[in-house]
Amino acid sequence: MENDTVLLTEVLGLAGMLILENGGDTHRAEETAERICAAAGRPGSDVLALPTGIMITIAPYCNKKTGNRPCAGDCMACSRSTGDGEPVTLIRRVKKRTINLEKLELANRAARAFTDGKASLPETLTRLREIDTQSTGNKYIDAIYSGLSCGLFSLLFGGGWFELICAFLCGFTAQLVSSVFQHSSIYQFARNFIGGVVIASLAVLLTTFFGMGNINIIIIGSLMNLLPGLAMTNAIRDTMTGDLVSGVARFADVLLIALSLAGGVGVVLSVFIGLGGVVR
Amino acid sequence: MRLYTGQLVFEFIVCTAATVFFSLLMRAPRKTIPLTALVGGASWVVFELLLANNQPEISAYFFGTMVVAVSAEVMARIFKMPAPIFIFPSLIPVVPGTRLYKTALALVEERYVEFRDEATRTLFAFCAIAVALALTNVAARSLSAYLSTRARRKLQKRQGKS
Repeated sequence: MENDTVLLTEVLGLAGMLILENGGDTHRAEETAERICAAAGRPGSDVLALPTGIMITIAPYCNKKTGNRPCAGDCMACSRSTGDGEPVTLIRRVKKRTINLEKLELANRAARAFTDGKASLPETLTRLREIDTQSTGNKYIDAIYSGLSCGLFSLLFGGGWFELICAFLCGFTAQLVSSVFQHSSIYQFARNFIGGVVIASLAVLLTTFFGMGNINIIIIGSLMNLLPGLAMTNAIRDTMTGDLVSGVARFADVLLIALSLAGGVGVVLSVFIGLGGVVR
Repeated sequence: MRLYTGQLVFEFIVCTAATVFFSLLMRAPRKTIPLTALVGGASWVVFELLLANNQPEISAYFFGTMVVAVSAEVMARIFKMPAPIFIFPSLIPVVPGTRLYKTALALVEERYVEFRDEATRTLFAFCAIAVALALTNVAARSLSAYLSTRARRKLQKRQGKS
């Protein structure tokens, strides 16, 4: 148990990264990491989770059972205070944030299996690695789901069958276009700005060509997939649970996304109006 | 604003269907999808009903989110999965993403008065949602802790007697 620090760093890094990457909040990532450390006999460890990375200092092995209370680091069992043994710090960067509930649930379950004592550390590491390298599904099927949900939402906002079809096409195309950028580093920005441009252009084309349909409803319906509503909710939740840095960072992210979307749509609409088009 | 029952039923069905596709997009676990979709539809109906009865917007967001949050906590206990898995898909109809977009659009198109109005409304809406989520989370955690200590004490008493 004392000698598996390297293994533990890998497990912690993966677990934290998986949770932060796939929609978990920082509180959940910190709690999971602390529980894993406690289960591995190092309850004095410290975790700092941000939306952009996770930093963990693993205390030396002491195997004290502190139950639900965090270890205060003041008992002599932990060689921290005597200077024997060395704490180990690991940092794991989180470069992209999406919402993938399947991976989130699997990572949570794998971490639970370890903290409940049902899986060993090497098993947990293999499991987490499997989860990390899982394939993320077919982009065409995703585009269909996206189109359908956008179309149905346009109905909810007062659209008719024409808005349904247009929003479906716009949502479908936007999702396909954003999947092209999936592995590039400007994924977030490209997805939102270019998505806005694509949606607005297609909506403008379809309404002018067929001469019917409310363009605002179509655009708003098709944007449902890209809108940062959940991100904003997470921003406020993180601030409420006391993680101010994370809250402010997520809030800035939300602002950037909203402005990119509006910017993309606004550019297309103003070009269209400038060319003499009529927005119905 | 009068709401007709037929319209409500139609919106419920449409909202449920839309939530299903969003859940699939988010890769929610298959067995949770039907329930979360129904909760999503229900929250939209509650939201619309409150607005139709001239209740303040903020209470519409609050109670709509309450529906989602309470059902999510219950389902989290039943399915043994973390609560966000149930909250994220069902919350999408209630979350005012479109309002956020309109705020940004007003800013980009230099309509500053509308920007100020929409921004304030958006902020209040999100605060109502966050407060509803936080309250339910805290309540659920305290309730679970209380129930588990009570169960443990009962078990100890029974073991002590036998």
